[in-house]
Amino acid sequence: MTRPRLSWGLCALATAMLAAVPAFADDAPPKLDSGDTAWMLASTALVLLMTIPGLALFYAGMVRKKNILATMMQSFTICCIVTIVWMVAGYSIAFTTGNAYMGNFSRIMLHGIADHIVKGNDTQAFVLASGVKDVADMATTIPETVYMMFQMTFAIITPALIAGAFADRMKFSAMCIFMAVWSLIVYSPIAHWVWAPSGWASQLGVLDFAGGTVVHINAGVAGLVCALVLGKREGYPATNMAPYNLAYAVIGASLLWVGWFGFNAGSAVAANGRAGMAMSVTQIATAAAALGWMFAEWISKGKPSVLGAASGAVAGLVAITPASGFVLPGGSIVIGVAAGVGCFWAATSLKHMLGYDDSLDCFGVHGIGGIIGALLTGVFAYGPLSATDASPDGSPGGLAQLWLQCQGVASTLVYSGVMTFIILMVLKVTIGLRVSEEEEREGLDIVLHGEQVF
Amino acid sequence: MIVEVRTFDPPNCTRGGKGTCDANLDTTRWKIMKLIMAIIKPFKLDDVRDALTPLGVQGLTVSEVKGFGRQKGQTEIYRGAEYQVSFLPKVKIEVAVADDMVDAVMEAIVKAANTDKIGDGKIFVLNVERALRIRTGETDAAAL
Repeated sequence: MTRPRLSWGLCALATAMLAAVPAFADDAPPKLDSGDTAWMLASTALVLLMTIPGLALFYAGMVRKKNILATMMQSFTICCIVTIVWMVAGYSIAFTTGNAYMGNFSRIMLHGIADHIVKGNDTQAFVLASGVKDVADMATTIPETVYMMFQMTFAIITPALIAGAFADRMKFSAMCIFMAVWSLIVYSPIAHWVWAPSGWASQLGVLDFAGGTVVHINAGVAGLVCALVLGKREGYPATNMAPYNLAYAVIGASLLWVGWFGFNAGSAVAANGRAGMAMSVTQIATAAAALGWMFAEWISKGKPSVLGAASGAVAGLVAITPASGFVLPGGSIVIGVAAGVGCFWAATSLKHMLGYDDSLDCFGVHGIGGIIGALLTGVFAYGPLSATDASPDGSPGGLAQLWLQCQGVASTLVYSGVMTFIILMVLKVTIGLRVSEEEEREGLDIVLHGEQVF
Repeated sequence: MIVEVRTFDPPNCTRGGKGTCDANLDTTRWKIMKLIMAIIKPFKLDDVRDALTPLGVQGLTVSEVKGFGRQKGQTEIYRGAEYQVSFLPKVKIEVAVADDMVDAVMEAIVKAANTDKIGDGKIFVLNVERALRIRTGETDAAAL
């Protein structure tokens, strides 16, 4: 913006006038909006509910009786571990300006996050500078603590999803270390690439509203690598490993569904129309996906199963995640059906064809669902939803956007896959990853935790 | 596996010497004792219990078990993984009676538990060497 040129005679008057005019947007402290803040506080709670007890119940309901507690313990403990890791360094690596690949260490131990608090209240909203010329900053209308907490709940659920791949057989100690390290060196960097304005994927124009790549493809491929490195469960696939309590799984899936409104609509970081659209397409896609899986199973296997309906819903939730702030209801139905049928095929046919033991279909649902959603976002994106002052046309769908999405998907697959493999191998040669065969037969609840349920 | 065990007393029975529990006891007849073990379909439990009460059966023990005979199991499918489940839920009733009651009790169980379909169950009769009532110390016949 340029100041208008004035003659000397009016300089003093002009200065006085300018002082009375509200400062230019660049100079004013970013304003807080209590409506947005209230919604984001609520969203944070909803997303945490997705992990505890949503995911905990969803997964625990699908394992055998002897592993129920251990499976719930994984979600619960990951929540605790990642909270601390995020606070210590994860948030700083993800959401400070830094460079294109990771943030800096200015927010280690959340140092400085209270800098703008005066008389108990934040005086300015959180703005994440891009640090790059001509690239817009990420401006919010909420306090940084709220943004940090909201993102923490995402950082928590992502590694918790991976646990579905190594259910029934991973050592608790190895899991704890794996999750702490993975969160720091895999999750935080990828979050930075996609969501920080300085991140390379964000600058490239990869669209991921609430975490299709950052959360689901990331966790999905990490889960696949875990399943391959840890190997199959003892007795798989001949032994009966039927779910012990599908009622838990349905309750868990329902909590995931409702909590996901915080996940997707909350990613608007505002209580506005975009959040409303995100919530709408989330619901529609999820319902379509649940029906898609259900009918696909009904036709191919003869009975519509409860596990199938719940799994289809989760698949839809996963697929609509990257698209939720970018697509309209019409596109969301297509995304939902594609995810429902696609993930049904991946979890039932692909898995058995290729023979890997992804116990709870972490890759089949989150990996494949995330890929379907991320790619279809490139197809169905509706420009005006992502338009800004700096970019009035937004990011509409099309071949160009689809290509950008492919790049985002591929880089996530490669980085997460490779880094997960490295972390696992280091743990494998040091403390070991799997419990022994007898321990696995006896059950993790007794062996790892000394407790039993039922 | 924890087995839930329930015991029944016939109505109008007051343990401790009075009432119909010990009425008309001729302990000389009750030297030979048998344990009748019946495996039946779970929904037939109440019918069998109602059939045994009028015969003077003093009590019985019930456990929930699994088993198979000629009745085939079913196929369960979870996300494409198919499992043949051959064990079906059944109920096992164990009742200890004097030898001269065995025929009547067996007949009553058969009448009550029969559905004319495969999977109705079986009855086994075992010898009981000794019996004792824990509270009073009564043995053998008086303990039944």
